[in-house]
Amino acid sequence: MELSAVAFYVVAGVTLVAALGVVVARSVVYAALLLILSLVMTGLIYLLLLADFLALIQILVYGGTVSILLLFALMLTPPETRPELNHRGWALGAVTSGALFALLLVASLADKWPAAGAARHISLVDLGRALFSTWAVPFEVASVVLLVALLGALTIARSTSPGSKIARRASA
Amino acid sequence: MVPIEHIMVFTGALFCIGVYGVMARRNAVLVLMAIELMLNAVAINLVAFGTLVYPGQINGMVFAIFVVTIAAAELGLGLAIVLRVYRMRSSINVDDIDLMRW
Amino acid sequence: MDYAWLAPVLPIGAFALNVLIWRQMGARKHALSALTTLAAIGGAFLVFLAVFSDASAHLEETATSSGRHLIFEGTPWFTVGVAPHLYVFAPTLVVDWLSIMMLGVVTFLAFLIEFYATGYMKGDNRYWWFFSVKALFTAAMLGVVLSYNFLLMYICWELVGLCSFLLIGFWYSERANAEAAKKAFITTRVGDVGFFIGLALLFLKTGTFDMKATFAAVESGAIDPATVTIAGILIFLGAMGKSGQFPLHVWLPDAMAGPTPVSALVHSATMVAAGVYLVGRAYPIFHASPTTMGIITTVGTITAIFAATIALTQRDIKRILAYSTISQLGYMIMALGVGAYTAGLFHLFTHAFFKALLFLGAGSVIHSMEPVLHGTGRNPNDIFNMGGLRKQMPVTFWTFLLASLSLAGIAPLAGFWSKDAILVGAYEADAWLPLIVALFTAFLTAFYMFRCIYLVFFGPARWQVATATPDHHDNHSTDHASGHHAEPHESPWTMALPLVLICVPAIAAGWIGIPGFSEAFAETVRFGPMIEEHINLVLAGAGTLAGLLGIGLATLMYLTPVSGPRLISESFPAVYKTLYNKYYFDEMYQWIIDHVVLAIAAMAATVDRKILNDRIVDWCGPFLQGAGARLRLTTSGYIYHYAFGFIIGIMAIGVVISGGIPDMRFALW
Repeated sequence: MELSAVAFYVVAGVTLVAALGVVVARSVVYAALLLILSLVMTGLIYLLLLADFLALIQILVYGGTVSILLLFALMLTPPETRPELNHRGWALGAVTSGALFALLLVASLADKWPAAGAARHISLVDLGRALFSTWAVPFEVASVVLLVALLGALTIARSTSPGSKIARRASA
Repeated sequence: MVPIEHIMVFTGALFCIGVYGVMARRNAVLVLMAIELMLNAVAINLVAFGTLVYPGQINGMVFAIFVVTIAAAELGLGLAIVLRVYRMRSSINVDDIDLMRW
Repeated sequence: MDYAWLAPVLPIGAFALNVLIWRQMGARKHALSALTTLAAIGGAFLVFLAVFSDASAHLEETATSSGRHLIFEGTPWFTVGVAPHLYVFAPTLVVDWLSIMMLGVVTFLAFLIEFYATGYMKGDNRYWWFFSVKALFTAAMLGVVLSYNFLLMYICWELVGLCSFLLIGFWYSERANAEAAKKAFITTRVGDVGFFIGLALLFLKTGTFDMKATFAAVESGAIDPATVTIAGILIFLGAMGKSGQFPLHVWLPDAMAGPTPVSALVHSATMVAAGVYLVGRAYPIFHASPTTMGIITTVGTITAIFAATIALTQRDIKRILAYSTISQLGYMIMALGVGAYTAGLFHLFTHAFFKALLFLGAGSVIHSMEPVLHGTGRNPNDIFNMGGLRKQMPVTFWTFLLASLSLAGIAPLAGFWSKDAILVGAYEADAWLPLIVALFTAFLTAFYMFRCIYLVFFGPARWQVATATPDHHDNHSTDHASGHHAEPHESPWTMALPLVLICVPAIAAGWIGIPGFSEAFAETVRFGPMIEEHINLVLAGAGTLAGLLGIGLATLMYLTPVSGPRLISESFPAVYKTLYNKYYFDEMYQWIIDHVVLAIAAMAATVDRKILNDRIVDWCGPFLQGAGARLRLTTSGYIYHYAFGFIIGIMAIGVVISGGIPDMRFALW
C-alpha cells in the first residue's frame, strides 16, 4: 500500500478515537481537548486529499478560534454538579446512531461509484478565481451570515442586569 | 489513495458518533461540540468526492469552505444562546430546559 | 294566440304585487289586494276571450299537421346533465281546444268567485292574504292547463296543491282546520309521488319531459307496453289524489273547513278537475294500455257510487256537496276510462258551473245562518238547523234549485246533456256494469240533492227552534248579533250577483253538445276522429227516469213531515252508521298511520338516538380528547427525544426519495 493510504488510515483512526472520546469522556475539558485533536486530524486528512488551503483554514478556524471559544464557554459555565454526563436515555442515542450507520454503510457500499482519474491538486489561484466568479454570490451571502451571527451573538449574550455597564450604555 | 468507499465509511462513522453525542450528552456545550463533529464529517466527505471521484472540479472544496464558515458562525451563536440560558436558568443541563413541554 | 302565456302570468304578477308591495300599505292592503287580484283574473279572462276568438278563426289552419294544437315554447330555463345526455327545460305551452276550454272555465269561475269572496270574506283581518293566495292558485291552475311539458305541469300541479293547503287552513287558529289542510296535502302527496315516479319513468325511456315527444314515443311503440302501463297507472295515481278518487278521497270532505269561496273554486270546479284534465291531456299514454284504461274505469265507477252512498246520510251542507263532487268526478273518470273522451270532458265542463253555483249557494246560506245561530252552539252548516229559507233567500233558492236540477240530469239543463253523453259512451263501449252503476248513482244523486233542498229551503223553520234555547229569555234574542234581528236574510249583491251570473252557464253550458243540434264541443274536444253523436232515446229516458225517481222519493220522504227517514235509519242502524261514518275510512287510515308509519318512524328514531347519537357522535369527542392527551406526551421537552424523531425521519425520507434500501454489495476489498 502507498504511503498516503497508510497515512490516511492512521489519521482516520486517530480522528475516530478522538471523536469517541469527545462523546464519552467524563470530564468536559477532556472532551474539549479531544475535540481539538480530532479537528486537527481532520485538517491532516484534507492535506492528504490535496486540499491544502482547506487544511489551513480548518486548523486556523477550528483549532484556533473554535476551540478557544468552546473552552471559554466551558469556563463560564459551572462544572457538572451531578456525576452523569449522559442522559438516562443514552441507549436511544446508541440505537439511533447505530441504525443510521447501518443505513449509511449500506448506501455507500451498495453502488459503484464513478471511476476516477488521477487526483489533481487545485491551485490557490484557481480557487480564488472560482470564489470570486462562480461562487461570488454564496461568498457574499456567507459574509452576511457571519455578520448576522456576530450581531446576533452580541445581542443574545449581552448582559441585562441593571448594574452592568453594558446595560446602562444600552439603555442610554 | 484509498477507495472512496473507505472514506465514506469513515465519515459515516464520524457522523454517527456526532449523532450519538447530540443525543446522549447533557451538557449543552458538549452537544454543540458533537454538532461540530457532524459538520466536519460532512466536509470531509465533500472534499473526498471532489478530489477522488471528480478530480479537477473545484465544487467539493468550495462547498467545504462554506461549511466551515457556517459552522463557525453557528457555533458562536449557539454558545451565545447557551450563555444566555445559563444566566436565566442557572443550569446548562439540557434536561432542565424543558419549558416547551406538555 | 302567442300571448296565451299572459293568462297565468297576470295572476302571478298580482300575487307578487300583493305580497311585496301592498302588504306594506297598512289597512289599505285589503282593498288593494282584492282589486289587484280581480283585475288580474279579469285580465286573464280577457286573454281567454281573445284566444277563443283567435282560435275559432285560425286554429285549424295554423295548427301543425300532427294535431290540432299550437305549441309555444318559451325561453329555456335550465339545462341538466352532461353531453350527450343534455336536457334543456323550456316552458312549453299548448293552445288547443282542450286547454282553451279549461282556460275559459277557470278564468270565468275564478273571476266571479273572487267577486263573491269580496263580500263573503269581508271583515276578516287576513283578507289580503286570501286574495293573494287565490291569485297564486289561479296562476298555477292556468299553468297546469296550459303547459305542454310534464315537468312544468308538475311544478304548477304542486303549486296548486300548496295553495289548496294554504286556503283550507286559512283559519288555522282552529285546530280542526289546520288538521284538514294537513290531511289534504298529505293525501294528495301520496298521489303526487306516484305522478312523479311515473314522469321519471317516462323520462328514463324518452329522455325528455316534453309531452309531444312523449306521446309520439308512446304511439309509435318506442316504449315497451309494460312501461307504458306502469307509467300510466302511476300518473293516474296523481289524478286520483287531486280529484279525490277512491281511496284517496278522504281529504275532500275535510277540506270543506276552508272558506266557501275556496270550496267553490278549488274543490269543486278547478283543482279537483285538474286530475280529470290530466287524464284527458295525457290520454295517449292511458289509451295505449287497456290495463290502465280498465283500472281507470274501475276506480271511477267505485268512486261514483261510493261517494253517493255516503252523501245520503250527511248533515253538513258542504259535506253533501263535497261527496257529490267526488261522485261526479268518479263519473268523469269512468267516462274517460271507457273511452268516452268527449263525454268525460264535457261533463267536466258543465259540472264546473253548476257545482260552483251550488257551493256559492251553500256559502250564501251559511253566511246568513251564522249570525242567526251565533251563540247557540249549533252548527250553521247543519241542514237540520235550517228550514224554510226559500222565503227569506229567494235568489239563493232559485239558483240552488236550478243547479241541483242540472246536477240531477233533468233536461234541458246542462247536466242532462253531459250525463247523457256519458251514458251513451258507456253503452257504446259495452261497459254494462259502469252503465248500471251510473244509472243507479244518478238516482242517488237526485235523491240526496233534493233531500238537501227540502231540508234547507222547505219545511218548518228549525232554526227558530234552535235559537230559542231554554236559558234565553225573549228579550235576549233581540240583542244577538249586534242589533240584528236574528233572522236569515238574502246575501248582499256582491254575493248574489255571481250566483245569478253563474246560473246562466249552469243552465246553458250543455247546449253546445246537443247531438244533432250543436256539435261544437264534440268537434273541438276530441281524441282521434270526431264521433257522430246521436240521441239514444232509451238511455236518455233511463237517465231522466233515474233522476225523477230520486226527486220523487226525496219529495215523499222529506217534503212531508220528517218521519220516513228516521224510520229507515232506525230499521237499518248498521247500514246507516256505516254510511254516516263514511265507511270508517278515516279511522282505517289513522290506524295504518299509527301502527305502520309511526311505528317505523319510532324505530328509525330509536336507531338515530341510541346508535348514531349515543354511540357514534358522543364517542368522537372523548376519543379525540383521549388521543390528544396521549399524543401530546411526545412533546417531552427533551432534546434527545426530538433529535431521535428528527434522525429517524431523515432516514425515512432518504430511503423513500432514493427509491428504497439498496442491496448490499461489499465493494470494500
